[in-house]
Amino acid sequence: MTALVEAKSVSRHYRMPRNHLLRAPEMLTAVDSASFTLNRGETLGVVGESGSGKSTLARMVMAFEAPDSGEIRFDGTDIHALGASDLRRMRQRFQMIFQDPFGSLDPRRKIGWSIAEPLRVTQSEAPSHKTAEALEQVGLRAADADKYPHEFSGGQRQRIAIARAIVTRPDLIVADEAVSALDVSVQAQILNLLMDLQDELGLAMLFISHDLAVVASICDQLLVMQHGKTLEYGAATQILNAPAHPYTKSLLTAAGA
Amino acid sequence: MFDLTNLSVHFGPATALREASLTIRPGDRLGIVGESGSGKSMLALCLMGMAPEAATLSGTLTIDGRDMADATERDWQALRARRVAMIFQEPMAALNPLSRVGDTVMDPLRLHLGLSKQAARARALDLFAEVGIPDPEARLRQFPHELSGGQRQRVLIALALACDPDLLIADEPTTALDANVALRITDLLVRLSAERNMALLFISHDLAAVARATSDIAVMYGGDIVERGPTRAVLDSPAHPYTRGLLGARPSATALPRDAKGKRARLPTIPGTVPGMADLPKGCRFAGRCPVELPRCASERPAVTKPGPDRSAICHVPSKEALA
Ligand SMILES: Nc1ncnc2c1ncn2[C@@H]1O[C@H](COP(=O)(O)OP(=O)(O)OP(=O)(O)O)[C@@H](O)[C@H]1O
Ligand SMILES: Nc1ncnc2c1ncn2[C@@H]1O[C@H](COP(=O)(O)OP(=O)(O)O)[C@@H](O)[C@H]1O
Ligand code: SF4
Ligand SMILES: [Mg+2]
Ligand SMILES: [Mg+2]
Repeated sequence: MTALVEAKSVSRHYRMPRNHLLRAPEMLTAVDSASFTLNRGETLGVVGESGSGKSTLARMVMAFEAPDSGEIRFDGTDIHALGASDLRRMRQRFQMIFQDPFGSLDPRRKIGWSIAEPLRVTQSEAPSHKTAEALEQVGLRAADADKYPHEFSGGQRQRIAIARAIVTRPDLIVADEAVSALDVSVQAQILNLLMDLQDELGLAMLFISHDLAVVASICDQLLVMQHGKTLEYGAATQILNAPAHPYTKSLLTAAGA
Repeated sequence: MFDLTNLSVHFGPATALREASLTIRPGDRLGIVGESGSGKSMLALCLMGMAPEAATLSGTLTIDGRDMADATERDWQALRARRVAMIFQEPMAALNPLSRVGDTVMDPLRLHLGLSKQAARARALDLFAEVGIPDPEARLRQFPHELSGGQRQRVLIALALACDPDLLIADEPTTALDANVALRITDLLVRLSAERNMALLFISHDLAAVARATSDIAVMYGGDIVERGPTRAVLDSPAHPYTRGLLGARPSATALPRDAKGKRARLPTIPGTVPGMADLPKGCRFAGRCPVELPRCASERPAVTKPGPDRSAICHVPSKEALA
């Protein structure tokens, strides 16, 4: 069976502001030759310090941004080689959850409308039973579809964001700091919910977090990044029990393990 | 010195804060923890004179002995420019997307401290280096969207420190940061507090960060301060059931492999969610979610108990360990 996601030597550079008028601007390597494979039903955790390139990697896996070199295959297809309409169709199969549940929900729309948004990409009329089903799967009620975002707490809004991500029945969910802004108790509820959904729907997850403790509770594989480079990549148990790199060790110590 | 006595905040019939009392002296490091919606930010906003228009306040706030009840917006502005600074929770919302982050930090230095352009730039560079922004020289000229989430957060911390405040209110300052940077930032705040005798109000749900940054702690739930005391003592032997739940829900950085059937262990949680402000139980706010609840809890407001030296908790059933 082919891996669901395969990243091969993916790199991305950004131009820094010029330090001097006559000198060429320096380039910053946000992601340096990252490679990984992610199987169906499994979770790959990406950890690393702030600015290490985690979100940049996520944006490339979601095809929001193209790598400067390397390729990303989704179910065997190079997503960055797809035309716009093929990509739109493929997008139904991978969805993203962002850190900020406020920013990702339109405050003027009922949440039912926002949850159905990914469905409208390919069908003009989104069936409402799918929205209802997604709401119930994240522990909310079907009737909540008629409420507005401000009527929900932060944790509930994150559940709504998850409902939107699963409404197309994707194979992959990319979660970028999806629980970082939540309090510990709500965080634990959302992590448990993601585990339930993974069991139920066979989802693969790319789970990005700066918090090693959060990642440890949910990941099969782990990729540790620093300054765009991959320091370690392998089974989560292996890396957490016997970190090979001093940086990973320092993260573990700082996290109080 | 900041002195809050029985401060309550209402929005119509709903209570956002119920009779909160606090004293903050120079050099104090006080942590506030609690679930979202528990009133942490509201408490902080009241200390800055920034409570929302729609709020009805009661109780008293004195700053250096002056009752702030009749303070004008101008008085507050003067106070905010030099004496109280706040690191806001949402870095993207607090930064101007059209302004280079260096200018954002340099402007108040020139405006409030009267520094020259060069001096302000040098100070901004120092601040960026101090909060651990990599390549500070180049970053000064970048726009917020060109920075990572954690880098933006550190720009805000630099901004708050720029004018050398007497009281620094940090609302979730480390939430977007990895453990190493979070440690560095908490250590920096602790050091500045000691060096400058700056008081620190550290609001966070990151218990590890609070443990490191503060000497005293207040635990909030549903608009009440439910437990108070020295940080170590409270985290080592929490007296209030809510504090115990909060500590139990924290995952640890050890790998949790799947079992033979491929199932993962679930994390312990506090069941349910914080009720809306208008639906809070009249008695103990935690009633309905509390694992050791008594029949009278929902209707009868618990009295203050003293689980240890300098400690207090409001609960009908304070823990035995803490009483011992
Ligand atoms: N649009 C952009 N223009 C210029 N530089 C950028 C841009 N986006 C990201 N960068 C830079 O790329 C690097 C990696 O950023 P990225 O957002 O991927 O980090 P991250 O690991 O997600 O960090 P955090 O944990 O703080 O969110 C950073 O140095 C950042 O400043
Ligand atoms: N402008 C406002 N209007 C009405 N209610 C508000 C307003 N701001 C905050 N609240 C309510 O006050 C309570 C406390 O909020 P807040 O202090 O922001 O909580 P925390 O910072 O602990 O997450 C919450 O129930 C919140 O919904
Ligand atoms: S007063 Fe009652 S409901 Fe409230 S925390 Fe104590 S035991 Fe639980
Ligand atoms: Mg990021
Ligand atoms: Mg808040």
